[in-house]
Amino acid sequence: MMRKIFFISCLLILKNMVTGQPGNTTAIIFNLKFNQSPFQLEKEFTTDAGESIQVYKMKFYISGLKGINTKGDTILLSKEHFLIDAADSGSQIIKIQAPSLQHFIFTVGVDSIRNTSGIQNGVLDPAKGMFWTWNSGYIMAKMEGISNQANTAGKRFTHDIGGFKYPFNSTRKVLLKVPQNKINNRSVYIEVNLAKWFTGKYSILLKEQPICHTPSILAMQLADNFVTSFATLEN
Amino acid sequence: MRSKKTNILVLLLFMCSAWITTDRFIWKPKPIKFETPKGWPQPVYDFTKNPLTQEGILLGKTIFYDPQISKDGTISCGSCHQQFGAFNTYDHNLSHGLENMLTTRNAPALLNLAWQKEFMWDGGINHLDLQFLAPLTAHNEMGETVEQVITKMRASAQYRKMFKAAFGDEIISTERIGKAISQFLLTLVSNNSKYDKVKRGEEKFNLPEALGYEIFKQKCISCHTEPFFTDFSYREIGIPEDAYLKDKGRMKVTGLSIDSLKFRVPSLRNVAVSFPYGHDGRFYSLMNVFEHYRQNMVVTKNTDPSLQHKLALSNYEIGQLKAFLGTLTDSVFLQDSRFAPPGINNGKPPVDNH
Repeated sequence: MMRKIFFISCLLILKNMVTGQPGNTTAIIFNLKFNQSPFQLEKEFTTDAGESIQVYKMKFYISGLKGINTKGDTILLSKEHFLIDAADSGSQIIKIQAPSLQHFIFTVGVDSIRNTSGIQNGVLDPAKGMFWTWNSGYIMAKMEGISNQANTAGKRFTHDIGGFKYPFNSTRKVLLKVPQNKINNRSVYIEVNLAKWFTGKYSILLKEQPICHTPSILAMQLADNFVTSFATLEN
Repeated sequence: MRSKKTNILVLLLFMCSAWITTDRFIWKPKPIKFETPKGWPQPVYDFTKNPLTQEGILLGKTIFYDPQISKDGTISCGSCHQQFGAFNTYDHNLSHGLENMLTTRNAPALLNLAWQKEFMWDGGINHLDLQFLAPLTAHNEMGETVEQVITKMRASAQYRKMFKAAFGDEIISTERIGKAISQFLLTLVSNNSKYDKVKRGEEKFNLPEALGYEIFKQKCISCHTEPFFTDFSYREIGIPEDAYLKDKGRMKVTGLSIDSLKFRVPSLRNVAVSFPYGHDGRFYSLMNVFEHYRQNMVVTKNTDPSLQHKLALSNYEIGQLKAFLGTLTDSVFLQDSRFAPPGINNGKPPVDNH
C-alpha cells in the first residue's frame, strides 16, 4: 500500500515537472515607441512640443498583473514585479501562464507594501537604481537624458516618478483589451508610446520642468501622462 | 513490516537528498536573544524577519567599521557614529564625508533603534534595514554604489566567510548587507544610565538631580517622553532656517508646507556626550539649547503649540535640569566592548583628528 502511494505521488510530481501548470504560456511583449518610430536609447527624438530629447535611461516597474477571462472573472496572473528596461530587450518580454483573456490589468509601479517592508531582492533590489534612499520608496518609472531645451548643467533632464503615499501616490492602473484575432493569445504586444510621457494628459515642457526627483505634483502629472502610453497592438 | 520500514527509509532519503548537497544542512548560527528592558514597550523592529545571531551581529559590526565600503576607502559608518559620543559625531556640528565634504546635518546618536519606526532627522527612511543606503550612496558621505560595495565584498575571502557564517552561503546581496548592519545596530541598547538605575531601585538621585527630574516632568517630558526621551514626533521648535543649508526638514519628505522646519525630537539619552545639538549642530552646549528655548526661539505659525510662547526657564531650573540630564549618560553603553571598533577594547576617544 505504502509503496503504491509513494510511486503514484512520484509520478504526479514528475508529470507536473514535465507539463508545468495548467494554462498556456503567453508572452507579453512591451514594444517601446516614440510616436510612429521604434524607441531607441541615445537616439534623438523630437517631442510633440518640438523639444529635442536623447534618452539614456528608461525603466519602469510593472506589478499586479491580472487578466479578465471570457466569463468576466478576474484572474491573478503573477505576483511578481517586473522591471522593464529600454536597455535590456529581455526585460521587455514577460512570460506567464494564462488562459484565453479579454483584458489585461496591471499596475505601473511597485506595490505599496514593498515600499515599506525593508530591502527587497531581485528586480526590487535597491541596487537596481530605482529606489530613493533618502526618502524610502521606489522610483516607479524613470526617463533620464539630454535635451537642448533643459536649462541645467549638461542639458540633462531627470524625470524620476515616485511616491506611494497619499497625496503623491504615483502608481497607476492600466486596463487593456486583448486583441481576439490571435489563437489563444500566445503573444500580446503592448505598445508603450513614450512621446506621451510629455503630453498624455498634461503638457510637460523640458525647458520648464527638467527635473523631477521627489513625490510631488510634477511626479503625479508625469505618472498621469505615462499611463496613457500603454496600448495593445492588433498584430 | 520490513517493507514498511524500507519505504519510510526511502522516503526520508528522498526528502534529505535536496539538502545534503548544500552546506545549509549543517549551518547553525548562534541565536542571540533580544532582551526588552523591563517596563519598556515591545520593539517595533520585526525580529522574525531578521533573527539576531552572533555571526550576523559580528558581520554587521565589521561592515559598520569598514572604511572600504566608501568610494575612496576613507569613511566608515563608525567615522560619523562614534561610540564615545553615543554614536553621534563627537564635537562636530555637521558630519564629514569623503574628500573633505561636509553633510548638511548633525549625525544623530544611534541607540535604542529597535523601537524607532522612521530614521533620519526628517523621518525619510521607513525601515532600519534601508538606512545604510542613504549615507552609503550620498555623494558627500561615502559616495559609493551598492554594486561596487558588493563587488568589493565578493572579492574578500573574509567577507565571503562571514556572510556564509551569518546567512548559510556566500551570497552577498543588498538585503543581506542591510540585515547584517541592522543586527549590529539593534544591539545598541542604552538602558544603564543612572536614571535607569534609579528607576530600577538600584541607585538614588542626589538633590539637584531629583529637583531637575521634577522640572523635566513639568516642562520637557511631553516631547522627550520616557523611556526613550523622545516621542519620535517631528516638531518645529523655533530654529530658523540656515541661509546656507536651506534645510526644510520634514517638508523635504512630505512635500507639505505644514512640515516646514520640522525635525524629529531627538532622544536625550546620553545627551551630555552627544554635543553639539540641533539638526545642524548649531548649539555648542546644553546652555545654548536652554537659551534658545527661553529666549532665542523664532516663533512661527508652524512652531509647536507647546512652544508658541517659548519656554520659560529660570537660571535655577536650568541648573537642576542640567543635573538631571547628566543622569541620562550611560557609561556602560559608551564603553561596552561589544560595540567598539574591531581591535579596540573600550569606547574612549582616539587622538583628536578634526
